[in-house]
This record gives sequence, C-alpha cells and structure tokens, in this order.
Amino acid sequence: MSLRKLFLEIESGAFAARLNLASGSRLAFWTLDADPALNRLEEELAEDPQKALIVLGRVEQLVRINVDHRYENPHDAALSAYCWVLAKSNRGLGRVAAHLLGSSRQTWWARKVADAVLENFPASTKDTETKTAPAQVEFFEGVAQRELDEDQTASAIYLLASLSTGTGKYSLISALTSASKLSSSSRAEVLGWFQQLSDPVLLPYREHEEHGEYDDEVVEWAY
Amino acid sequence: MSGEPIDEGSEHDTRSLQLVSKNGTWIRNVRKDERPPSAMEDAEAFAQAQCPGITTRSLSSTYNCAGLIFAARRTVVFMGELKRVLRDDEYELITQRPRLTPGDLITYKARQDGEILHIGVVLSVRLVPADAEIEVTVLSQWGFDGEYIHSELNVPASYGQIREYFSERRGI
Repeated sequence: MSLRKLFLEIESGAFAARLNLASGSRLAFWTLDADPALNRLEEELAEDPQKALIVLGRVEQLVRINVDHRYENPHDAALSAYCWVLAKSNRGLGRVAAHLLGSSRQTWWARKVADAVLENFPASTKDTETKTAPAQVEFFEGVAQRELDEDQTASAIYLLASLSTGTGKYSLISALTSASKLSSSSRAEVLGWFQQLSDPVLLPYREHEEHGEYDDEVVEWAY
Repeated sequence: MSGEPIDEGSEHDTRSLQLVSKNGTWIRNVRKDERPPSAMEDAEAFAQAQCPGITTRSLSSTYNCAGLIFAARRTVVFMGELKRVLRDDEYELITQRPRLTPGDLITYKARQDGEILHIGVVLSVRLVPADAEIEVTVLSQWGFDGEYIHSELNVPASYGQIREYFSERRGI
C-alpha cells in the first residue's frame, strides 16, 4: 500500500475516533501498537527505512498547520501515530519527531507519545546516522517522486539536511532538490527555513545567488 | 518537552482542578481542550458503528470516563488513580449482580489483575424473566469520543470484558 493511502487512513476521523476511545495512556498506547494501519506503515518502513523521512516530513508539515484556538489540534491522533511508528522504526528520527511535536499546539495524545519517546529513547551518538548522500539522492529520484507532493518533498529535504551532521549541507540540498525536480519556489522555501534558523550554510548561497551561481564550499554546521 | 510540568496532574500543575477524594488526598487530573465538532461527529458515527444500539447522551471531549464519575465532567482524571479513589471514597465491591442498583459503578478491565480501562455508572437494572437474567444499562464517557447510554456488554472490545461493580451505598 502506498504511503499516501496510509496517510489518508491514519489522518482519518475513524482513526482519531479509535484512538480517542482511550481514557488513559495505557489503552491509547495499546491501541497505537495494535492498529492495523500503523502496523502496515511499520512494515513499509522496515522494507525501506528511508521512507521514515517521508513520515517525518509529514509530521513537520502537520505541525506547521495553524490550529483553531477554540479546539484541540485536529491532527493530534495522526501526529501521535507517526511519532509512535517512527520511534519504533528509527530511534533517532523518533526523537526528532518528538521534538517537533513540542511545537505543535493544543495536542493531547501527541504530547503524551512524544514525552514517552523522549523518556524511553535517550539520545545516543548513533541517532543522527543517515544514509550517504548518493543513497538519499537515489531515494528522491525513485520513491519520493511517487509518494510525495511538492510540499512534502520540500519538508523531507529540509529534514534530511537538518539531520546531516555538517559538511556539504548545501551541496546535499542542491543535489536533493535537483533529484526530486523541486520547483525553484519550493527550493527557495527549503532554504528559507534554514534562513529562519540563521543557518551559516546559507552564507555562501546568499552571496552566490546574487551572481546566479552557487558554491560547493564545505561549511561546518553547528547543530 | 519544554514548558510542560514534570508532575503532571498534581496540585502544582496549573492545568489541574482542585480535586480530592473523601479523605482529602489529591486526585490527579488535567483539563483538556474540546475536540473540533467534525471530530466528534466522526466519533459518534464510529461508536454507533462499533456498538449498534447505543444512545448518544453528549458529545464533549473535555473529560474522560473517570472525569464524568469523579469530577462531574469538569476535567480528565488519571486512570491510574481509580483504584485508590474507589478505596478512599469507601466504595465496596459488589459480587452479586442482583444487588446492583442505579448509581452504582461498573469497571472494565482486560485482565483480572490489570488496570481499569473504563468506568461507568449504572442507570438501570432490569430482571428479564424469560432468561432469569439481570439486564444492566450503563451511562459512560467513551474516552474522548462522547457520552453514551449502553447495555453492560455493549462496549468497544478494547475496554475488556472483565467487569466489576462498586457501590458506596449506606444504610441499606
């Protein structure tokens, strides 16, 4: 089953209703663990671990959506589910998702799952391991083209670059945006997100963009 | 998570209401946002599909099953508190179903030694002469999916089928 279909199922009213039958965390976590859609998603990630980045991109996307202040976040159940599956599949990405959920507003189960992930999966030096840049490029040339829309692609690239431990971050962004045929406006959006973080990787980009060229200069990233 | 209280639901948690049991012991609780109306409509449809024959009483998500019983629907009471609250509030286990009466409580578990997963209040008790069986109708809040009137066994499977009954009645 494609990730798109699984996303639709997990983000449905029926899924939220199923999770919200629980009055407490114990039953909620059992529900997440036993849910058929989440189990299928977990199988997808086991088959191709790089797909976890797509799920993480979806988390980042949902977290950015504005929420009606009168009500609970309508994506609370889905956010909790994605964080749950990510933590089971890749501890480091699970922790990233849990931290992302910290900026989501008016959530209930998402916060509880995030707290549980951060408490039960302490950070380790192996947390930020990702595949090599060429493997990531290949991934975007293949799977991501079929699975992601423009916005999700941009989110996934941003997250991949965020997880990169430093050198050649800008080159990675350039390679991934080319491989995924990201539009120039979406590419600018990805770089804009780093700009908001005052990411030093952008300095050579800003300088050379003015001249219509970019620089492959290695830039250290202090994450 | 940054900004979240470490001692969630305690008297130090600004999201808690002042709630204590009969002997003055704090009952952990946290107030919660209402879910969007469309989500509650979906929840009702889901509940009706899962358990045909239930009657919707209310569609609110600011309290859970324990909050309905022990906090008058004002807040979410932590499920881990239930065994202690039942004891502190001097509830006694009813072992014979014919002794049940409206106002008594019913709990649901998946395992005999497990945590209470759901709790409701007995609305009516009826003897079915043909079967010589006791038919119990319950009012309970189904997590954050709304409040329903249902027969004792007509609950989501996830609540478990192990039921116990409690009463605080005196002088009868």
